[in-house]
Amino acid sequence: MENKNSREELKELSPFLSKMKKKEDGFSTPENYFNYLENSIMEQVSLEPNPLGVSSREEKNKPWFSWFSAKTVASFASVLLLIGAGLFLINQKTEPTTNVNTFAELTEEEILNYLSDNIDDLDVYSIGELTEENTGSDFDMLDLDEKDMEYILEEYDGGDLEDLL
Amino acid sequence: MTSVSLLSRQENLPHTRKKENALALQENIDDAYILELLQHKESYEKGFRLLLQNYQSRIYSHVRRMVNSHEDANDIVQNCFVKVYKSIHKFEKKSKLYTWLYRIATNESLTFLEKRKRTSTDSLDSQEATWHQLKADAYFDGNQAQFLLNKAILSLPDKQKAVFNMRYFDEMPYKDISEALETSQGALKASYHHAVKKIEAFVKENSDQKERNI
Repeated sequence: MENKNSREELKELSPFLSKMKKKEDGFSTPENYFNYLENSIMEQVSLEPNPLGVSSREEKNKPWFSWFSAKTVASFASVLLLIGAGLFLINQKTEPTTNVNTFAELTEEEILNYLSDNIDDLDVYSIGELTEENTGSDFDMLDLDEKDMEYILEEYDGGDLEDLL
Repeated sequence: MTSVSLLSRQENLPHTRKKENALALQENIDDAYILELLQHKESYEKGFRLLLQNYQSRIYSHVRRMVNSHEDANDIVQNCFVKVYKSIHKFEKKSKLYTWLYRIATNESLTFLEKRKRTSTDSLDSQEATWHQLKADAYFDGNQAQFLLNKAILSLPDKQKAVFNMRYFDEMPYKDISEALETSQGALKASYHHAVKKIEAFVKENSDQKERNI
């Protein structure tokens, strides 16, 4: 039985099935299907890397810049960016703050002169911000004009006014 | 065994056996040439294309008989050959090239059929649906007998179906089927004999039924 071919075997097993004229399954394919199949598969595998790597001929013909892979270029670029960002930050920190040194160099006379020249621009809020004391009071919420101030001064004695402020 | 000594032994054989041996010899030479091309980067693509031209039809037919639908077979065959492209350089020549290809194709087909069964709630409904699909298939132009035969084959368990198809349609020796399916020859013979009996009974019963209905 081991050396029998399949036809002889089938005759013995099932004379009924062996009588079927041709061993065809009845399946068909679209016209030129196998040309299409070959081209379709070759197209798909062309997108895959050659499992044996790049051929020696292709390697010789590679332009010089292609030696740098996208990965290498991206890594190099990100390192440059980091260095650049680092330098920028360092520069920012070491920039001299001239305001502090200049302010310390001012004389008392210069400060008083400035204040008297610009008194109109200053308000209680700006002055208050320069001190550590909490100068907040109900009056902070009010935008008082001269008439309002006169009224307050009339209505309140010194002690109450002091409390209010 | 060299090709020259093989040829000289052919002279005393009967004609059909000579023809089969000649074809097998040619196949061996082709496979050796293909595998040689696939060992080198420069000729890899050429070797793969040659492999495709030699085997795509056979692999397609095998897959088609497993899954029936042309569209499904088309997808599976393309997946198979892409896998072959990626891995043939690792082929160890422990088996014949075509049995290795059959193994890949069979595994892909069985995986597909398993997935299809999982999505279908009822196995009988699924079988019924497949029969109707076969009848309605634009790419099935078989006669009534071929339709009945295919219907019978569809009713077999998937692995038994693969064994039957490879032996009945492809006339593969048990040794080669054993390499492809990694199953012993004894088990394969038993499976095939059982399949033949089942199919014969199915075809006879359905042919008689049709005659009674008329």
